[in-house]
Amino acid sequence: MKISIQDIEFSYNGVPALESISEKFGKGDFIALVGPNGSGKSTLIKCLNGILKVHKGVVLIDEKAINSLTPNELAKEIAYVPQSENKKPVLTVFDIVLLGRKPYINWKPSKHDLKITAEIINLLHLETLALKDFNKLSGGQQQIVYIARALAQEPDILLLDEPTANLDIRHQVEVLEILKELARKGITIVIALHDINIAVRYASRIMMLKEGKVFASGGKEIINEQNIENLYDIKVKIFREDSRIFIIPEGI
Amino acid sequence: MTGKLVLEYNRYLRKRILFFLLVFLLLVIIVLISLVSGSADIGFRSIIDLVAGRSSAFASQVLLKIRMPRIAGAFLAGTSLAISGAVFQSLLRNPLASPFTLGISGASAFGAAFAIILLGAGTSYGGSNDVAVINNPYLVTISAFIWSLASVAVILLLSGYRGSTPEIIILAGIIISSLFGAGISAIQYFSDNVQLASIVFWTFGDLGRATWSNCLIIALVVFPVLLFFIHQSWNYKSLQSGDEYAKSLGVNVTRVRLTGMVVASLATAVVTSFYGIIAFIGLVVPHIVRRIIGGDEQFLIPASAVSGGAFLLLSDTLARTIISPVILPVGILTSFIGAPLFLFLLIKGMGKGFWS
Repeated sequence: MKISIQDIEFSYNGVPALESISEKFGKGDFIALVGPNGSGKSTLIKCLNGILKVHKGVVLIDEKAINSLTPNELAKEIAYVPQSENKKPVLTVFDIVLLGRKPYINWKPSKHDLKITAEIINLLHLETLALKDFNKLSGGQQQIVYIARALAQEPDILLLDEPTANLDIRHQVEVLEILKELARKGITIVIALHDINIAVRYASRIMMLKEGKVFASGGKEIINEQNIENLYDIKVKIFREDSRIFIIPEGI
Repeated sequence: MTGKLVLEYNRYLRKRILFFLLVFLLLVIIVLISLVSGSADIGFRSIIDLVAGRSSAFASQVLLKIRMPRIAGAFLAGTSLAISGAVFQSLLRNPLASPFTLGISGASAFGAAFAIILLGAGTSYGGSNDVAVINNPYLVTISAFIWSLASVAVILLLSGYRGSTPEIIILAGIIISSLFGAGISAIQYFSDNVQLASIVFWTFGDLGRATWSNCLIIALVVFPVLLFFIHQSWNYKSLQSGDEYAKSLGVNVTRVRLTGMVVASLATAVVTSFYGIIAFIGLVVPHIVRRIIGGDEQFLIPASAVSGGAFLLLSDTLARTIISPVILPVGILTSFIGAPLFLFLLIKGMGKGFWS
């Protein structure tokens, strides 16, 4: 599903957080949002699915403005994996993933809802954890459960707000491999990432945000010393080997 | 493969359904015990006679006019308070929330006293009990409901603030309670003796006032409310994971929270306006149920409904028999049981997340 962002603006109590952002993403794109803390990555993600209402401009998915869809219709198209949830309900993994079927459930889940939930649990290899208490899982496992919950919405677009922030390197790679595979299947992925190396390694497109504005946007060609140094205000060295790029911070 | 997993999940759900059935069975037993306990000597025989239509006038009078409405009233009031508590806890993501701890019971009580004395919804008469008779139950309930909304407004306003914690909300509830307590005292101060006695009796929380007609009014509120909550249970479940996430699932967070709070207040107000303040049922029952079957509102709400009814009926049966022939108001007993339990939950919750 295509996303078209047209000149959007958003501010928190008069303090601008996003200014004149325009972008177009295609079906199956894997877009990484990068930039320093407070650059507007999370805000942009929340504007894409209407959690935050933009003050100016419009977000279109497949040519339809998101505010012309009901919240429920929108929830069937776009799923969201929040940064972290400090309130963790006492539920099993199956219950948590089933919650993703919410937009389809009226009184109680149907057989179809249960089937989809089980399929997604299998897809992400969570079978052995399915009936375990979610709170007993490791941080990495919980993050994969959150992705499973988002997939239960059967979305065409998946928004993730720093899903790897608290994970060790193996779980980071595991989560990103899963996302890459989903993008290959045609789901558009928009992900906020802190680790620029991971972003470069997995994303098909990179959008650099600084102070609520698009600093640079495009493919790997926008990764160069000058851009990274200006974006994060640090000194870096970039090494290239075959098609791979390594960014090493050198100092301030 | 997926079939197996669904099967396992369904088997897992059976535990929750089993709990529900167990409580229901318990309820039936408590109802039977409650029917045969009391100062009048009425045994199981009399119940069978009543069903067969050959019981004595006295036995049928006691069973039909005194014990049965009291049992129905206890069940309905317990159900109402427990589901309100469960929903307040979910909506505010606050395990200490309940009609009593949020000050909603206190506000309803003030509203009811306000209607009885100042709006003239009760008339005192010089009988042996010297207790005001409520001659306009609708006015009392409406007044209780409107005043309860005042405390809901304060709670909602406070919980909207950044940095508001579950503890702050409960402290606010205590402040609201004492404010309305002061209001009730003020009304008492300006009442005559008969009015004073009736308010004092009335604030005790007593199921002795249960009649078929007030049971009917409560039932007409509680059952639609229960249905409404069950229908909303998936919305409440989404809210547990945070407002932003719930929004991304298509939940209209503001509307769901507002309607839920108002409806739960109505359920509290209708009970309080007839039977007075019955503390801790709305706090403790959902807590215990949550511990046994987990925090899934889809099951939590109906299970709390039955458990709350059973718990209050059990408490009332105890209150009637514990120092027989004196009948204690059940509100005193639930406070005696509930306060230590509440303290226990507080201490247990110290230093770690309340939900864990």
